[in-house]
Amino acid sequence: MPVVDPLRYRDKTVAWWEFFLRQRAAELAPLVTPEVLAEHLADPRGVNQPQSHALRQVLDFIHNQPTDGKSFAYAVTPYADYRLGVMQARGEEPAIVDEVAYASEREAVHAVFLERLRRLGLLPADQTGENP
Amino acid sequence: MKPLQIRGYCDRPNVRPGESLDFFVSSPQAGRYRASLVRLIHGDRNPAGPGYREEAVAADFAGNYQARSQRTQVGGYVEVADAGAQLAGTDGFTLHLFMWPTLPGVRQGVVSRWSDAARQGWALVVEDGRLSALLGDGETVHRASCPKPLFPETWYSVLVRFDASAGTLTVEQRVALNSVNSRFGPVVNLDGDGAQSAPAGVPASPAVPLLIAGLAETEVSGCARVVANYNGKIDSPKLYPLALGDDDLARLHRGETVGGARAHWDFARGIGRDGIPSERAVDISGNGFEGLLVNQPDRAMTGWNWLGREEHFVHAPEQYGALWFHDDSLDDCRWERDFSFTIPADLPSGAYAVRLEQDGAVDRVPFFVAPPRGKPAARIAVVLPTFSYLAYANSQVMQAGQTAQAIMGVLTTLDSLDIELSTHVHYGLSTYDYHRDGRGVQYSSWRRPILNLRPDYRHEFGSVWQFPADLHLIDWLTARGFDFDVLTDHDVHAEGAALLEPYAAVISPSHAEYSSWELLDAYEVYLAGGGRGMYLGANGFYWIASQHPEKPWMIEVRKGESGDQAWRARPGELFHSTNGERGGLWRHRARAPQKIWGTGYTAHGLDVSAGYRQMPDAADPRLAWIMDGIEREAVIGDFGLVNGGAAGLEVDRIDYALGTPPNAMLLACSFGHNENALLVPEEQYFVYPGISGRDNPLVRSDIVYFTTRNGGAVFSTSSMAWCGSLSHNAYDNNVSRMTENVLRRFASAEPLPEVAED
Repeated sequence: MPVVDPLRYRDKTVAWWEFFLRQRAAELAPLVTPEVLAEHLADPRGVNQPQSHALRQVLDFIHNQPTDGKSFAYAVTPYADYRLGVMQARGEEPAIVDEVAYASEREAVHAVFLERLRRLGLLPADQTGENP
Repeated sequence: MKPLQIRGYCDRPNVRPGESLDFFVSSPQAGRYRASLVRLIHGDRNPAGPGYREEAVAADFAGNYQARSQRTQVGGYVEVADAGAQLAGTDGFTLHLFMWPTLPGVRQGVVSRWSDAARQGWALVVEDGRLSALLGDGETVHRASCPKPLFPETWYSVLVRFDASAGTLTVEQRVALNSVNSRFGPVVNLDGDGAQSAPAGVPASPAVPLLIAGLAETEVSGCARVVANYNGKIDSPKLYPLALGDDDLARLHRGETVGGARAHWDFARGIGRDGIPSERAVDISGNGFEGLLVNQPDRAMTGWNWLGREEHFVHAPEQYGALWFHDDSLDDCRWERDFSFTIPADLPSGAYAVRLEQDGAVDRVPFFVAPPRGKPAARIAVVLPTFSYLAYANSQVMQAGQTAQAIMGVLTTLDSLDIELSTHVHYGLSTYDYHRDGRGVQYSSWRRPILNLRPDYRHEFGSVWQFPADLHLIDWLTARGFDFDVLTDHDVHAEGAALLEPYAAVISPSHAEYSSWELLDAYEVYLAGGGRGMYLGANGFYWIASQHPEKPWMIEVRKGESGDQAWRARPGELFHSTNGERGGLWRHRARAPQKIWGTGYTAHGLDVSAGYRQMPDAADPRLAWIMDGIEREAVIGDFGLVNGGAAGLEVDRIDYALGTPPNAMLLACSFGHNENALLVPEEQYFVYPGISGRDNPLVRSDIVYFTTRNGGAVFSTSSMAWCGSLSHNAYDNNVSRMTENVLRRFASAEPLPEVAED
């Protein structure tokens, strides 16, 4: 049977990605403790003290997810007023979530962190993570 | 989200008194805007620093202007004028070419003499993943479509034949892959050959040019507006003014020459020792249908007949007959000029911007004024790395790069400039981006609004970068009372060491990453001849860049085979079209930065910076003047606007094997980098654990000093974050002190004692 139409072939690695994502998320879920959430809230980059191994593993995982659909901190006024945004495909305007304003980049980045954790199943939806 | 606003650009980055710059402005809002001149001093709005600083300067162009919206044509194509309708094909024609589509699912014009608005003429198009030939008379569009869909990145030989007497239109494709020229090889049982014929009438002859890689929508003032831009390669398109017979068609499929072409474009014609730095597509038919390349399609690309045994197009031009087109490439916005500014004789050298303001929206268009030719106004020169500014121009790394957040180690923060860039393709891309069809961007232009060149732009991973970062230095020099001239890569590339020679000290700021051979020569000759250089950045003089000889506002970069690569040139495509030389890293062409500056790129850590620990050489009495005022045990630079330290973002170190002078003195090394600070790829042979700042001693920034001939010397701080620490504590800190100790001595007429041996 010859190969005729590129649309008749799917990317088989999609199944592997789904498997890997599921497995890795299951391994990381126990690391998302109130202590790790508090560590990120206090110092998202680890400027003041090195990040714990648990937080690094969780951050490495979420940094490596595909770009489309990723949340980000949107600076309405840099250093003063932030929102949470969601990346769309190139050429499309990202979605900005206007309901919650953040007064600092640190808080906005932490909100991004929590949103990503929820989306990846690493933080129960009913858990805000705001006051661990 | 902010709406689109007034934007502008100028025709080149560098200018001297007496010379003129043209400014181009577009706004979606009607009404008037105000233009004025400002001198730029400090851009970073980080509240922990000095804040935004600019000074108004009187200028003759200042005033109010009528705002207008100006259209930008993006996407690469070749335009061939045909006022005499000799390519109209009304008596029948045969078109042959080789093509390698990259996005076959999108409607695209491959070769056309077609008005898409009037549906007149003829065209070869990609529709729904298949090739179609169209003939249109304004009422009816006759269509023949290949039954076999196109595979991406696969070479096809393609024919369109219109037999006017028989009234038939035929389109045919044959797979033309070999072991190396396409995505997959001959082991795939690919059935991609196919043809279809259909009845057709004589096409109309619209008043449009012939286009390769697009369709003409209409023609305005002699300029075609092009839509349905093609993505992929095209090789050897040729047009015959008759319906050829079967024998001739078979010869064309085999790549053989068939005489009698009305036009035959050989994209390799013109390749010479200096590459193919031309915007012309040569017609070898003898009929003079020369084409003009618009928006810089990729040149010197492997063609349908590339065999993989020769990787340099200069050595096998017959295998490099392809142009690679992208529907988002841009070489010049081609807006109409709003005003010009002739630089007054008394305007001091410096970094300036035209400030555009309309209804509260502000844009700043930077440019750089050198002193009058042969008349330096200071003993110090700062060379702003405008080649690197171009390489990064409008980069969208964090919005588009799948691994960008992992590389940077941060969750991204975007502002309105980032969103404007990612949602509006007409500003063009940087050499850190990919074209929509997945090819890395290899050309970058100054002639467009460059939003990340605005003085207060903050990169999406939280630091100022390139020009806004270099303003840290401009501010410090200003605050500390230094007189200095501002030069650019463009000036030094053009004028060489002679431009630097009059200066006692020359400073390279935060990130002069992209260099031409001429730039390296200029620094090397200057320093070897007794000049004194301060390298206050890192990851400098790293990638090979070349300037387009016909379009000096553009540079070319080809990344590979190693290095911190945003993309990697495809096999056989590492050599620059604009000068014929190998692209990639200078260290792979025996010009590692260590040979000139003592240090070269070793690691990046873009989330957290560190300070420096003093090494034994810091106590050497011959260097006491450098360390004057700095405690022997003090950590240097454990503070700053860039992630809290002077050693960060990207850092360099000495490497004797790569050419660090044996007499280099190692004053200090940074310490305390984290797990996200990683050794760069070219420093690794095998991959292995333990390449982070926590584990690996090669992950560090070195502060180095050495003397050269004739009283010359080099001082390198080897960190992109260094200048971000200069303003700490109102400029009273040990980074500022050390920098000032060196600069005052370098700028003085006092001889420097030679430090020849340990």
